Amino acid sequence: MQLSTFLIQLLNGLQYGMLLFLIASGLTLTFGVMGIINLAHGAFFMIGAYLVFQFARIYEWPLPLACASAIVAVVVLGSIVERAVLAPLVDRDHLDQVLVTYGLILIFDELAVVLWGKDVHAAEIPAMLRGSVHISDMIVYPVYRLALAGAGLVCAIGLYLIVAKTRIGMIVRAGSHDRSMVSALGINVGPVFALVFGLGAALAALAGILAAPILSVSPGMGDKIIIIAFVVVVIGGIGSIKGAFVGALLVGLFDSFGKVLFPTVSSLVIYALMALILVWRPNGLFGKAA
Amino acid sequence: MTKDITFSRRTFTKAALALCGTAVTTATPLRYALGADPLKIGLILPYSGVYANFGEGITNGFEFALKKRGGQIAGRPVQVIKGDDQLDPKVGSEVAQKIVTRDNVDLVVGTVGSNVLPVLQKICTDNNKPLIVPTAAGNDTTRVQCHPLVFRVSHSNWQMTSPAGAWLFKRGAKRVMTMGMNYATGKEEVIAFSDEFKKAGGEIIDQKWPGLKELDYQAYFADVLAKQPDAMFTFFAGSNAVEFVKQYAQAGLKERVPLFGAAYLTDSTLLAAQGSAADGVITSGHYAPSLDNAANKKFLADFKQATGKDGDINSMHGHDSVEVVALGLEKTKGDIKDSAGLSQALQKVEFASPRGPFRFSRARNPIQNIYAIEAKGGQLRVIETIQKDVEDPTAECKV
Amino acid sequence: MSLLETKSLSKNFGSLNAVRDVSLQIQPGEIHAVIGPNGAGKTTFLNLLSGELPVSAGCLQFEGHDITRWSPDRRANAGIGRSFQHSAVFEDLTVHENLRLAAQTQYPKSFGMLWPAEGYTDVAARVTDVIAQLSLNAAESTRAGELSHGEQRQLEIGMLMAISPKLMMLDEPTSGMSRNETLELIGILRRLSERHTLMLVEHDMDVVFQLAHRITVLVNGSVLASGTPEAIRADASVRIAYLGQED
Repeated sequence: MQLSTFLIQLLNGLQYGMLLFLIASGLTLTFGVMGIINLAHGAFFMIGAYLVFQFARIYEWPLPLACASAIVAVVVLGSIVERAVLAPLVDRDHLDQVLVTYGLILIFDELAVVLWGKDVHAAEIPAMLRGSVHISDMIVYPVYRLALAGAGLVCAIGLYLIVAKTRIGMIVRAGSHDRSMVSALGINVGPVFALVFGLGAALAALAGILAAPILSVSPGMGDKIIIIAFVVVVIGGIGSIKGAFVGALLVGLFDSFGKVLFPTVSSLVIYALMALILVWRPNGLFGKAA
Repeated sequence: MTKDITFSRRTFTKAALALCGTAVTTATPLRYALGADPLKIGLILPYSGVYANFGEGITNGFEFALKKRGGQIAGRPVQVIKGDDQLDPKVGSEVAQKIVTRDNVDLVVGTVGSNVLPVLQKICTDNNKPLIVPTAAGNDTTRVQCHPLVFRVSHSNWQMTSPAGAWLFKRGAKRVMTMGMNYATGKEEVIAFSDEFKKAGGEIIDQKWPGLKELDYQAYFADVLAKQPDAMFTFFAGSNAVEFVKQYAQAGLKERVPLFGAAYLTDSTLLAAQGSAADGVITSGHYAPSLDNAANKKFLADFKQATGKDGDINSMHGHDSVEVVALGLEKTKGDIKDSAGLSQALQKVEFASPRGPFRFSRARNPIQNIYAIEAKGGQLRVIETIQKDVEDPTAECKV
Repeated sequence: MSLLETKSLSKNFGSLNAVRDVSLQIQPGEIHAVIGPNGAGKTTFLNLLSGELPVSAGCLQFEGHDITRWSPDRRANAGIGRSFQHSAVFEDLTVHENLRLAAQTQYPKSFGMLWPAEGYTDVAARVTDVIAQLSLNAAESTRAGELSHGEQRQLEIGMLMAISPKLMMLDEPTSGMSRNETLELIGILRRLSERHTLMLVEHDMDVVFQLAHRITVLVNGSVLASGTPEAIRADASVRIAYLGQED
């Protein structure tokens, strides 16, 4: 592999990993704190993308307003879903949760079709982030993707600070260890759940907004990425933010180098990675024993 | 796990649909309240799933063409029975069984997915019902699988891209890289191109096959920059095509390695989403709304007037499906009982389609022109005719 | 008025009556031990008091309020603290963080959840105070998961101290402890009882008879006897049902 190819793939892997982290972190938090497997997390990603398309391209709102409105709308929607559908499922079997949240995926996908039709839409890259960085003739990299990687990294650091340094972060870490102990200490876990879930939904919506200009905005766009996000969560260890971060980077890097090194089986590379890690550490890299 | 999910998907689809009261139904009979002895046509298409917009477009064209004919074919009122195959062979088989044997339709129009077509074809031919294929383009349908009662109005995969091989070489591309979605259609279309390109003297320096679930093609692009081919030839469709075209342009590759592909790459339904990223992309295909011929102008104008929508490749396919059936049945005076006579009559159908002159080959695949189509400013422009009267090879068809 | 009173409290799991018709009173300031053979329903009973499990029948009162339908966190805030039978410390958090998490539940919640946790001086003082009362060898910054078993159990009681509940319920606090660790713990519990009412579910008879003011014996989910250690020691039915087996 040439050095230029190596560097570009490294950037690609980091950039893809950051996008995956935004989605996987919400997924792993929801599981860690609430014990809920939320397959419909990808719907927040999709709705974030659709709303920014609606606000920025159809209504022609200024971009910051469009993005903020989309995130707020998704958080509101997420809170309704959390209160109405997921909270009653907290103590239920995981299979029940999987079935119900899978049903939610279908409902949201169908809703997207009803509201925006079956056509494929897209959002534009904002003018200031268009174009590429020309490092050499062989190394050309889109500015937007660098921005995307940067945004992901900022979110990762912010999330780390919240989880490691704040009160809610301490409760989140404690809650992922044992929820009943947290309530025995006199902490009402309901609002904590809602807050964590809202945060996860906001991150997924942000990922959808950031991805909208490079992906297509179409019904079911969340379904493709949620599968990869689950791989990330399983590799990193369910419930661990650190695991989601390391897992996302690993998956991003293996995916982008796999496409160059093993082009014929590239789509299998990350699943092979997951299988190997699970053989070595059955609970994932940073997971706790059940 | 996968099995459970499939099961629950269906269960949930039903529950969710019942819940939302959304208007996707598995069978909506459209009754034309006319005299006795109606002609019953089964319309089996994907109305849900990734190719739902194909099903919708074909249906719009189909209903438009029927309305244009006063709801009658060869003097018989037409009753349409719709079914959603969900792009799933199992579902398609159940829907086809019901429509063919229980509703006992006279003929079937369907479908889009090459994966569903074989089961649909088997059920139709087993029951001696003519099948008009509006889209599914697998080469075998009109080669080894060819059948006197199976007529395709779209094209074969080979037909769409094979003429582009020699054409691109003549334009000056000597070293070409290809990328195609890793499934039967993607492979047939890209390989048809590659074979002809090599025959003409060109070199295929690399072929990449990203999966259907691929989201991000960026990781493939470093290799394109490193190998510096003269052109990139591709097959992508639907949302994958939007993602690929946008990412290709965003990576700054379009200016360095010109992008070519099968017409689905910049399908008119995708152009809005692709935006300026599609500008300058050239595809090979049998139809574009900008084709300059009388039949096309009339089709687009009438279609717009009747439906308020712009005609596209799918509505053209739906429209031509009705034309083929109508012109064939006019020859038999509405008789569909004599299979041999009907097969002959349909095979001899010739008309001025919006795509240009249309007639069937011995294998019952259209003989038609293939054009070079350029996307620019959200429009598709035919820049030249790559080859006239292209015929899919019929040697393997033993009819 | 008793601090906590149960009236005909029962819990069924399907057809199994884990707790039957238990009525008892815990007086302010006393150390009340609940003993009984394995499977007698001791932990289930404790879970009913803390709200972990919903009751099947009967009711319970705390300081005269009917708390039968209260959630676990509401009971905790009202002054009922508990420990768990398994080692219930948050392993990923440091010793300091474990205590802080408990302590900050006692301070006004108007502070934002996203404020740095280190910002509260009251809480920090409370944590320091608790650590002084424990006899931990490990540093405050040690991850709780790395403590020895005995130290984890001490930390758990420290967390209860940080909450400073009116009633402290301890589920087998000495289980898995060495002799020396047990002796240390008895000292800590004695000091605790000067400020808190204690309820122990305990296996170790030495601990029970050294500490308890009153003892309730559960057998098959029902109260067999309840009274002072002397009375229980003298009770013939208890000797047969329970103590006899120990000898």
